[in-house]
Amino acid sequence: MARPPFFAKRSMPAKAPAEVWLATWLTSKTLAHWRVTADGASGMATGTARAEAVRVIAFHPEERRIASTPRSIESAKSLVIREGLSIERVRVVNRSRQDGLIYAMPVGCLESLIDDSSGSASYGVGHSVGHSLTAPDKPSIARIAPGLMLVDRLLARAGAAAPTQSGRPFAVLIDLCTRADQASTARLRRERLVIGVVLGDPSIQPTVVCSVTDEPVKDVARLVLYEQKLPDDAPWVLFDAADLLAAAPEVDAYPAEPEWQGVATRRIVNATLAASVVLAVAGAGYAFDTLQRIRGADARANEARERIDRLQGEIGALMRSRPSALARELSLDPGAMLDRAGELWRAGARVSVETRGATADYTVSVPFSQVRMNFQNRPSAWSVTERARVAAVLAIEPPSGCTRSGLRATGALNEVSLVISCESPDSALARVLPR
Amino acid sequence: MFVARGQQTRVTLAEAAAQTAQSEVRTLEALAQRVRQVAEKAPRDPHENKSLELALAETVATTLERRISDAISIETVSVTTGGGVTRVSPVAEMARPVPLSGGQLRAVSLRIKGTYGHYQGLRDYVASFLSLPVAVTSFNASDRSFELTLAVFGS
Repeated sequence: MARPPFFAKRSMPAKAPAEVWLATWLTSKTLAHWRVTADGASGMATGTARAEAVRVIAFHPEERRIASTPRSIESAKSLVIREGLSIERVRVVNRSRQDGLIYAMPVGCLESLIDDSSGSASYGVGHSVGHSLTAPDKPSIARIAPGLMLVDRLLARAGAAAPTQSGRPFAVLIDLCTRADQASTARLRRERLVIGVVLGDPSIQPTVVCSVTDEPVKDVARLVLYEQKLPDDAPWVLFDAADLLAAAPEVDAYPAEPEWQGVATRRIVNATLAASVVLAVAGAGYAFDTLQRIRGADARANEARERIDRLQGEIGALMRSRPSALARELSLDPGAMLDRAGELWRAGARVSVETRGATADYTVSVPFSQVRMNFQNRPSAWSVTERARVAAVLAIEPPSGCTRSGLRATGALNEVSLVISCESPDSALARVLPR
Repeated sequence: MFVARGQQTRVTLAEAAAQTAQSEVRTLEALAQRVRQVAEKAPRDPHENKSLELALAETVATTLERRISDAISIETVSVTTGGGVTRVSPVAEMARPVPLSGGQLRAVSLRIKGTYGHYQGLRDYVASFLSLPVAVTSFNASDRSFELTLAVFGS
């Protein structure tokens, strides 16, 4: 048998975990769990896997891988559906920004691995022995990680030794020695777990073949290539348990529960509920505070109204007992006004008084005769007298607390006048005057 | 949002009502203080608790009695409160309650128009009302005519 034109075996620098859990869909149509250590793979019973596994890398026929430009998680999900790679909802590991790849698994397949209530998991290919990975005694459920991503990480770590750039289809084989576990439900009489993945044209989905066999690895490789209708001389690359342990930490896990934009919907619901509770409490507090403020204001208003009633009763009683004193307090003082009018009077002038509320206007008027002034077009004794009277009126200084207007005249210029305005101090009792 | 705004409006209205009432209390307290001072300084009032009807009758009588001695000629005497009543009406219809008295005091506004013969007569005539529960609320005098508005108080 001709050697494959490309064969590489490369040891990875190991900063590897002590063990990695695998779930494989075997060619015998059964699902088997494996604990992989540096010594090889040990088939594990379902119960053991439930109890111990935290993260399980699954090689499943329903898993999809698609090349993509950078995009969001929701967009990645849409792309998988749009490309016809799945007819049901999927969860994705979105590596489009880092690696240009998206890994997708139907939700039903993931839940069959995660949810214990699903009993025997069926992947739509007939009978199978199901082993879900929900462990009641563990604080959290196992996370499922994409096996295809493990393959990609292995190839990436292999670098130039991998035939990824050849453009031809090639096979990746992970060869793991097995040690039978007495409690395993898988049939592990043979010596080797071989995981074969055929890669090549990006438009064709990778094919995963998992088998437990005692055949030499090159025969297994040939079988894998044959089943995918690839020629015998197609390249293949081999990895072992140490490679797998080294690359496993780089493999991301699928979300364990529904999520939106990368955030678990349960967290969103919980956060929403918490925010609602906070809002409700804050709203209740605000309403209580508002009610207290309204009650306080109402109490102050009621107290003030009672005080108003008492004061009005007291004021009314005092007014009724001293009506004359009250009247004098409220009254204008016409006597004082007449006295002031007398002070403002000048010979030949007239003084009138008129009140406007608390203000008294005193108008001092002087007759002004043009006939007398223009007698024979010469100054007469009368005109001299009238000029003196007008000058006397113009010389009036307003008393203290009063203001004086400018000189006023009638249109016919037969009288001139000025107004002195005096304001009385506003009495606090002016409010009780009837209107 | 709308509920909170409505609640805030209720608080604002309640506090505004309280502040208005408290402001009125402060005004009345100042007024009560002033009325107490007036009452304390005043001697025993012969018109204490006098009815408005009686006070009005005494005022009109004084208006007419003093006109001869004071050289006053009366042109009109009219009531201006109650819309200027010209028909026979109860005095109560002409009266207005005195504000802030709690309804215990009423007043009638009376306008007197006339002429006077000399300055001293007018002065004495106006002064004659000061012994009654009457306040002069407006006073006009020009040439020989005058106009006087009185507020007559009574229970």
